[in-house]
Amino acid sequence: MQDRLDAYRRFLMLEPRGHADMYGAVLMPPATADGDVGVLFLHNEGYSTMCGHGIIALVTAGIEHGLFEVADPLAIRIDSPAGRITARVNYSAAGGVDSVSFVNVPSFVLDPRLTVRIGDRNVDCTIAYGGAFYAYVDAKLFDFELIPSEAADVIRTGQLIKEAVNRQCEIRHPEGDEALNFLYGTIFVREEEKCGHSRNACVFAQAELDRSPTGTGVSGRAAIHHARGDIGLGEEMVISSIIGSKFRVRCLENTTVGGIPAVIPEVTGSAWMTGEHRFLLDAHDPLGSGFLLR
Amino acid sequence: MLDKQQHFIAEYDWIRTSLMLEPRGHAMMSGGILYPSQRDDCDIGVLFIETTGCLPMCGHGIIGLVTIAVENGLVEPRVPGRLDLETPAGKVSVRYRGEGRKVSSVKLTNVASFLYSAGLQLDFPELGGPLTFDVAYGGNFYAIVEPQAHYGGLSEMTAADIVRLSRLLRERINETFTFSHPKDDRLSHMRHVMWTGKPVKPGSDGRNAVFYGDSAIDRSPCGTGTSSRMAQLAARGELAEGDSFVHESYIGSRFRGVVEATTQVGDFPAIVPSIEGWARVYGHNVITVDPDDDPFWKGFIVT
Repeated sequence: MQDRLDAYRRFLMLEPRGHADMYGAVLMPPATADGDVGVLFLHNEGYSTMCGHGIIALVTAGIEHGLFEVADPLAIRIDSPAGRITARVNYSAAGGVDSVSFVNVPSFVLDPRLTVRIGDRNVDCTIAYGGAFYAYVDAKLFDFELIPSEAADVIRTGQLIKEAVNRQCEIRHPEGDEALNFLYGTIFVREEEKCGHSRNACVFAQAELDRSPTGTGVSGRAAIHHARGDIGLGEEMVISSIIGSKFRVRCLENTTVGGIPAVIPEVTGSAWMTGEHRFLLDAHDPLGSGFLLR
Repeated sequence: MLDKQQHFIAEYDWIRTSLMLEPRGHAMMSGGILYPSQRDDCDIGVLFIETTGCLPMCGHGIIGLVTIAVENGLVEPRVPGRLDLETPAGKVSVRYRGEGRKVSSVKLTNVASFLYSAGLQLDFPELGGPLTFDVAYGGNFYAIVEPQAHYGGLSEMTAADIVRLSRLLRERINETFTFSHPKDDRLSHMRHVMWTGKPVKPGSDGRNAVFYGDSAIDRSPCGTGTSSRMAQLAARGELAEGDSFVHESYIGSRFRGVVEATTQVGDFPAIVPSIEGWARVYGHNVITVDPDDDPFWKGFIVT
């Protein structure tokens, strides 16, 4: 798709049909013999290998609208560029899709306490992996409530921390592909009284702010809290995004990654249909193939 | 239409928020809602909606909705090629060109536009020194910044620069100067900043980027902005009655403006500009809103 059909990504993700924060998925025939469906993930700059909120949305839409057949809705086998993802539909009493759970990759803490210099102050962060590496920072250090009106400040500060960590710390996945060896984003955390229940705001890629609580981000959180002894196996944490949407995450089992203790997290969230679109490209439209302002 | 606008906001604002805000829309989204007209001399009524509320009038909105309405048979014009719209700002008459149902361009005549003040100056250390600008009115007040010692032109500005610098400049201009519309004081706000530069395409006379709202850059060449720019150039003697001015947006789209007439607004010499542009239909969407199940059914915004 990248080589031959990238025009379709631009057509759908960029303006005027999409926008800078648009995200999409293309359903494909499965890549494996026992897979139910294959998926490619699209965004404004290109493709990503795995996306948690994308999985939740496409399983919801796929099941509610019969977009693909599944052998077992409690163990849907999705072939993503990152590999096999197993998802489960949690049905509502009325029989609709209430939420979707998926099992993520082994997640672990790389550095429990890294101090970086931001301007004239020291900032402590924790580096963890949940499909991508993130620096987790206490939002109270910057007096962030993690609400939408703080978006510009959150993005700017998140970018500064990410740059500082990338400068001061070697990010290396002990077993994974070299392409994983970089800090993808900064996640600000605001803890509430009940342990683990909190708000997250994730600044990732090129100054994007996640509207969801971030599937890979909450997986890293689960690894952190499990390592600290805050949560045991099967114990659930509820994590909110900057707009107040929620993911639940729990550790299914212990494992190791290159000798580092790790957990297998399961993430649960809900998606809702917002519309069905028939997009057109007018032969006389010079801007119709997509544009983006940066 | 102002009554309808008030009724819409009081009773049905969720329609606006669910369509304009995320996840269905985004920070730059704007829209139009068609109504039957209450006036005998108009074909159709229209409300303009965007992320923060309703607008009395929107040039590129008119171009878009006339194209959609005519191509899809949503309105039967009494006179082919001409449509009279009842907007909250009053009656707006447009001409459109095309073949059969296909609309190739839409032209609207704007309100009287005038240069309000020339050669205002402010210290602007962010660009390395003082900045000189004019202020003109074309439906909104615009601070117009042209290339000069500390501003090399639009080609040197990224979208992020435009947003960051315009916010600061607008704030400082409004702290230092006041602007008052000679006919109606309710119109006396300067909320738009226009940065000009050399056109990129052959056949264009100018290029611009307009900053408005909290963090928006107009994707179109801006109808009221182009009118203000033409009023500025006319006041300098660079445009006369009957002259055209092809204005390029930041993304390269173009409006063709014409000085249709000269007039007077209070003590200010003014022009009556027309703006012509095109729109294309890029989809038919069935939007669903589920207040029972979706906690975000009214939409949300992150800015």
